[in-house]
Amino acid sequence: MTRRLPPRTGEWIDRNEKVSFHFEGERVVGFKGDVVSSALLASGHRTLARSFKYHRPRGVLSFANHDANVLLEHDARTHIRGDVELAENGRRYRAVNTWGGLKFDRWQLIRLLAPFLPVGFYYKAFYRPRFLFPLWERLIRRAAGLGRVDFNASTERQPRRHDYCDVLIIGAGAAGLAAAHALADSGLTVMVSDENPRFGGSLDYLHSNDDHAQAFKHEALQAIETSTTVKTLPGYFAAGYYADNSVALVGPDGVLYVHARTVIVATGAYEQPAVFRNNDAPGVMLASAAARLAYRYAVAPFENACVIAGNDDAYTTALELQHAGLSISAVIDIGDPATCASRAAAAIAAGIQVIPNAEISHADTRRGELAAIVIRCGTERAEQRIECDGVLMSVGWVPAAGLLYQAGGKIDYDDVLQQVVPTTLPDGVFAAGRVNGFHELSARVADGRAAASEASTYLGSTVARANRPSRAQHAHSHAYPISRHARGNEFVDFDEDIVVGDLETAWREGFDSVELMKRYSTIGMGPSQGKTSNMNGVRVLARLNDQAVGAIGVTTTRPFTHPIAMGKLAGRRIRRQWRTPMHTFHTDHHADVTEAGTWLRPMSYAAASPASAVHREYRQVREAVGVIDVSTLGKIELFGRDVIALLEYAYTCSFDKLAPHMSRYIFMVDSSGSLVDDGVAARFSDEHFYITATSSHAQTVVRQLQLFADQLALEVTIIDRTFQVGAINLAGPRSREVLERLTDIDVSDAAFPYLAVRGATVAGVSTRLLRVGFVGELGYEIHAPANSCIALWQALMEAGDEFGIAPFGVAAQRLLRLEKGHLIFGQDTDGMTNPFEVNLGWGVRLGKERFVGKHALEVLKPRDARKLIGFERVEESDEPLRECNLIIERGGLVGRVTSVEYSPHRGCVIGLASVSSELSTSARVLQVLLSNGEYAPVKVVELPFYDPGNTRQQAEKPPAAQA
Amino acid sequence: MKTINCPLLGWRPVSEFTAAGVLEPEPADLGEMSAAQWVFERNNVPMRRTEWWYHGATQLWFKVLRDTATDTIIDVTTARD
Amino acid sequence: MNARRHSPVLDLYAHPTERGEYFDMSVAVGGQDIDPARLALIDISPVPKRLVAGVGAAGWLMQHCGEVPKDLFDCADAGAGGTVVRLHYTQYLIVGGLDGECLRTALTADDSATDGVLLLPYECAEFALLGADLDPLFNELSACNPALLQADRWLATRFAHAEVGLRLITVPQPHLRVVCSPADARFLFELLSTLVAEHGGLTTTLDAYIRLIGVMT
Repeated sequence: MTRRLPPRTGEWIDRNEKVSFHFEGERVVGFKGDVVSSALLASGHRTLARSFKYHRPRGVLSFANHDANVLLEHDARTHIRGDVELAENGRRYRAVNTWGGLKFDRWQLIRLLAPFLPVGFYYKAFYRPRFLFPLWERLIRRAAGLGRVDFNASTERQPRRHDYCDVLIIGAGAAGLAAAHALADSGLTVMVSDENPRFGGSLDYLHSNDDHAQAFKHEALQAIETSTTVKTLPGYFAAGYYADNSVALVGPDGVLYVHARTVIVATGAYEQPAVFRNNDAPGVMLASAAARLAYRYAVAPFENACVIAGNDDAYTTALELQHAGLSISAVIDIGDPATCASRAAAAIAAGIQVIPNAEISHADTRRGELAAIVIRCGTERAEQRIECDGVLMSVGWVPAAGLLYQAGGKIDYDDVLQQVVPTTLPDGVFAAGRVNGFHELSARVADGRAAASEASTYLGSTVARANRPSRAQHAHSHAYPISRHARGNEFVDFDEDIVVGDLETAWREGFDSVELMKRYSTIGMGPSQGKTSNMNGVRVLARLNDQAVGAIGVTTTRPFTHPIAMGKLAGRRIRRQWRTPMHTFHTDHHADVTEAGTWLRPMSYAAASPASAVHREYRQVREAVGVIDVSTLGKIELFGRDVIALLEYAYTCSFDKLAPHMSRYIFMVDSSGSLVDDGVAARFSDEHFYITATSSHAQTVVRQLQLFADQLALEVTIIDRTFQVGAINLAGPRSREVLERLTDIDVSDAAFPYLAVRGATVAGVSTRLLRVGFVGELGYEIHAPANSCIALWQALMEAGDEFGIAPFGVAAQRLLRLEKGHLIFGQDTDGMTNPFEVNLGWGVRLGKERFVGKHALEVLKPRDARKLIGFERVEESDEPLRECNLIIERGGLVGRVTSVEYSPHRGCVIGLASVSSELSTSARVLQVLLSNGEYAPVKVVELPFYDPGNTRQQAEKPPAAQA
Repeated sequence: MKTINCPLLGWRPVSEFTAAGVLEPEPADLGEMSAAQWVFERNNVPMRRTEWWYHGATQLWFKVLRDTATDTIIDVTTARD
Repeated sequence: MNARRHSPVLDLYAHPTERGEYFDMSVAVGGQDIDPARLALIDISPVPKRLVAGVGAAGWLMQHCGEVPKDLFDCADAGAGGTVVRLHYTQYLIVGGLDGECLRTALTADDSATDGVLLLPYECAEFALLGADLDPLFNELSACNPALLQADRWLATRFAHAEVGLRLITVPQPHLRVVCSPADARFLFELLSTLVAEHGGLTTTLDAYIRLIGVMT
């Protein structure tokens, strides 16, 4: 049984190509261009879905994606909107949320329980008996929700893009096209978007027989298509308005983030349903829905229909539908009887029966679908029953003003129009058309031109000046299109199955503000987010509160206008990763390369057995020689008259005793005295320093130094060389011998003492050498231009071959430094650690006149609450000690483990821990709470664990370390 | 996304910047203020205030006069002006 | 391979592309010719560069290059693709020309730090992006408006979160030169290569770029 109308120009279907798919196991044939719902309706299906809570049969309501009645699933995709999803060959669609299919959905039996399921029932039930709760939870999980998620589905990602324009026009209906036409030759760059696949809006289906309107439409489309400065985006909806006139448009190719200088919102309005008993029956729909079906898809959604008229538009639509070949048996006018005759004149003249001064009682159904409408009219209020298979509601409008709300616009209730309209909009944001409260076509077009004129003036350009039209002097929305019935089922929110009685219950229970009513009843919280329910809810609440509708307010409209697939939001998979110059070497040598922040670093070599690799690399460094890639270090060149002034202000120590070509350990704190970063400062001259910073904080340190230089107006050039310079640490007792082979400078202890800095050519590469001691062995940190590093590394490997040189990774380095008791910022310190707590008080020169953190450190120094200590595990067990295991004393928290490893040198597990000062004495035994709940004793020991005399890393003792 | 019109840079998306808030260099002498006041007390009433913003790609600091109530930027100057 | 310097993205060029040496750096060569009608991505990292910094930098540049860009981010054209860019108040980047001659003295001066002038290497990766319309790529990579690109100006922004310095070159046809850090090089080059391929373009080598530029000079 096909309900297709004869072909007409401008229809969106292509009758030359058929499309065949399955719906609920049944084959359906439509045309190319059909959406799923239109193909189903054309094939005679009327019940297309089951509602969320009561599983009542549902059909098309708005046919404009303003409702979420028709939700389908197919393969891994769910929540497919049948009203806008193009029908494709071979698809097998099912309605969501049924048990046993759409026709015999077993969940419909839930309506027998309806008396026990009032609004908010779940707040009051299921508490007792407690043991039953898991059962309820299982049942509710099965019953609740809509579509099912396929966790194995792979997500198709679509790249996100940006674009820029002078004017973004959202909506290409009458007002949007008028605005675009006005700007087409202005020289301003314009983008026009519309959520539909074609431009035109209601010009297609409410003004199809108005030659003037059609001429306007063709002219406008022609102008924007030929213009070189207008970009058209059919099929893109505006998901949300963001700062500074940026709008997220979502279309078939993904998300397009438009940065516009001005925005014209011409998004139209949501037609509103009338509320009466059984207004949700398939066959009851919005009048504009029927018009869209008839004109765009040539579908007759009924044999004969009644129109519920609450405004003028009802009559326009009735005439349009009759013109399309549909049968309108009656128009039921529920508006002001005094003015009925004038608005009904044209319809009456066209032979349509008009029943003035009517009220809706209820709709009758047969097998769940609409069978008749029952009204009361006349002076006696006599009941009249009209058999029909279509009821078209045309009772009012709500502007689709979500974007305007998000932009910070003021939208107030207009008592003349009986709807909300925008009153104040921020600079650069303009509204036009129905969204701006205009309903007459000529007014909408004029409003579009006016918005274009205002936008161009705002941008300093000029198009023909156009004034805003005046608003209508009578309402286009019925003030209260709601009829209460003793037996209920007057649906206000179709998504959530909320009836008028639910709102009354919520109100009686004290949820009498619009925000509370929303959250308690869940009105407006379903997939269509209240587009066709919020306003009626507000009207009900106003009456219950005996307040003006305008005084109730509305709840906040937030992005997104329609749901967006995760793959579109995610965009292209982009993962920034920093690689050192030796990266390929590491991967070629089976290194376990791991993400350390943005860097990729080798943890150890021989990924197959990391544990033994770490100890093997450790021994290599202790006994012979190893090389580690430390290119991730922050490196900063400082040059200029005020370098020392900058360093003295930024860091806690003083630089006056640092001799040229020597280096020292430095660290900085923030204004609260908490440690921020550490590194090494090498001095070349009074005006030239080279400092290092930790890998993870390099960018922060550069930023801070530049800040200080600017705040104090210092003459310093600060060059971030972190990525430009690679660094290699050559460490071990044989390291000097390896270095000797590759460089001409004198590397003896006398000529190149511990902490000295030398410039040298190594393996033909111009480098800086720093004698460092992080791992506790004789070692040299070689800094070289990044693009030369791999050649240098290979030369070191070759030269060291006879000494058994091998690369070592970050894991071995951490073990080596731990045996020396060297702390790692961010590992052994946290966001509040001050220098005095971690044995770094010697690096703080409080006598300096001025530096960051000085005042806080003066306060903190005597406080001395915690100490960083070294410990050894005294009793082994199967459960390991872990970082952040807590130290407990007399049932209270007194510290935590910060670093822990097995020490080959000591033959036991060692570590660092931060503990209360009074527990930090040597040989004190502490109790560590292991991850499995047991306690393990550890003994406080003196640091370092290895080579207390520091003889390995330096030939002779250095000058006493000082601040 | 918010865009800022900076001298030297032109209109840039806010994602290119790090906003650091109101910053004063630590003085040698706090005068009447205690160290705790210096470190922790901030005035957060809605106001027009000068904030430091950092553009990472160019290593340039800017001073931005911003109205915190409306989140509008009134003026932008380079740090070294 | 004798070259001590390697392009940061050398390893991304799969066999059978050959390796060659330009400006003392090992780089991929032997790729396809550039088709002006298609997008192309080329690794041009070997192009020599130097950093000149300090309060005396402007004077030094005047003496050794004859060119000093006046304002921040100005590029002073030195011919054959060479230029001097003012990166910061007292930091200047010298970029050599593809002829190997342009700005040669300045580029081969030793590292030094005297009289308020600091001379240092400038290590980076550099890519050339050619195509009639690069806006679609730009719009995916950056939230910055591509209209900000101007000839003779350095545009420092981010591509896919990575800091880049962009220059609009006008000969032989308008195209983009992108400078990024060696650390970001592989990440960015792989992403650009993917985007270019999606738009029907190809990734090719420095010798093809030099041939293209050479045709016009």
